[in-house]
Amino acid sequence: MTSETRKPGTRVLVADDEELVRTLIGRVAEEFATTVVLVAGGREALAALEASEFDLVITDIRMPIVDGLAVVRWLHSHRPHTRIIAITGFAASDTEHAVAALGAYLLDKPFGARELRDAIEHALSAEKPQAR
Amino acid sequence: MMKRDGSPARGELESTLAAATEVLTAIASGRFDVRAPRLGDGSAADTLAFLVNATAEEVEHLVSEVEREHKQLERAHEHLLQSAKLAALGHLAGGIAHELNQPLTVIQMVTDLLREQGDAKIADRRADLDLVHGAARDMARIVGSVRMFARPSAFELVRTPPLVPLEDALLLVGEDLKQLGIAIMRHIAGDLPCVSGDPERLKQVFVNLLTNARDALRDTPDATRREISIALHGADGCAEYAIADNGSGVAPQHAERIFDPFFTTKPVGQGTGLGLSVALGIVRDHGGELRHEQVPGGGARFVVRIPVAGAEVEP
Repeated sequence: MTSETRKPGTRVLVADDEELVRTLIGRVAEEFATTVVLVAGGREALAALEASEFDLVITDIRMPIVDGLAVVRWLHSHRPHTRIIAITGFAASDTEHAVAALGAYLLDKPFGARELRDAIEHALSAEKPQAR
Repeated sequence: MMKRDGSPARGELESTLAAATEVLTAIASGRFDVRAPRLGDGSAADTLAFLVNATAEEVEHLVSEVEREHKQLERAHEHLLQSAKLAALGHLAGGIAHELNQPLTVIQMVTDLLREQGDAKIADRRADLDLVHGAARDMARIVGSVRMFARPSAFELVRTPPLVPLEDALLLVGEDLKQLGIAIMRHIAGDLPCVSGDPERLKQVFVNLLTNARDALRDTPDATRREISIALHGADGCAEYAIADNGSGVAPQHAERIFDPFFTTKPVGQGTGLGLSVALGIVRDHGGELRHEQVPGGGARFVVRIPVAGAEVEP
């Protein structure tokens, strides 16, 4: 599975303040990407995004200081082609609606490797949803 | 006091005084139905009897008024307590659900990744891994229902045909009911006006009520005819739904607690005890009413009232 799905040059950024979750997301993301960068928060994510381009950003919504919504907003205005998977706790809350409206795929917690893999596959292959 | 016809009717006056004393003594001991006999002749004794009786009537009326208001207040207080409990619990539940989601994600991810590995040692323990994975899924399900409970208030009231959320719920649990041989009796009134509702949430209410009915019927002997009756009709500005089963009903000692969060009589692992309190919260968000009634001859009936769109909601 690994070698078939991985496109050379694909770069993924993972932002989650939970180290274990972040590491595990990274492990699955490696199946799809040649470069996976892990960061522990929104601020670090913005710094990484400003420094280089990514094909896909997987970010938790609830993070201290700079949250996932800020990251998604920044991407929406600065990197409109970057695919986004937003990890959510409450699929129906206002923040989640906002994130979805900005063109991110929502992945509801808790999820397993299979759900994550499906989300990544979908985000990378499908047309990016139009921001409303 | 006035005397009539010369000599005072002393005997009458005395007996009226005795009767008046009896009325007043009864009032003092909390009985308000005693009256003094009237002579009807307009004498001083008759006037006294009239006044004492009028006083007794007024007191009786006031006391019943106070009792009625007291009961109303008690109900409002209970309602308030229940709402406060629900709100506090919702908040707590949301926090716990969020915290549990982290370790649950880790468990699900790790078991998924391990199961995918071709390692022979791991393959040997595949059954154990499946158990862990299944347990994590169960926990995720519980967290999911708790989250439903803690869901923030972003919900939208739209004009909804009253049958739609009920039909949607039946679509979800109907197969389950069929498998258990449960017959569904429908008593649906036609041409009902739209309710003001959030269709998704109302569906959740009926899913929860139908699930409870199903669980109540699951344990009845196979020989019994298992039946859920679903009724819908209009009633003073509301759509009134009634979902009844012919199971064993709610035990009287449980009746007061069934809407309490986390109260359940289902076996461990089968119920979260949140179904009815979630349903109650949703119905109240709609300005509606949810109550339980015993069905004569066994079984439980739940009545849901949702205000019709555009109709005034009573405070």
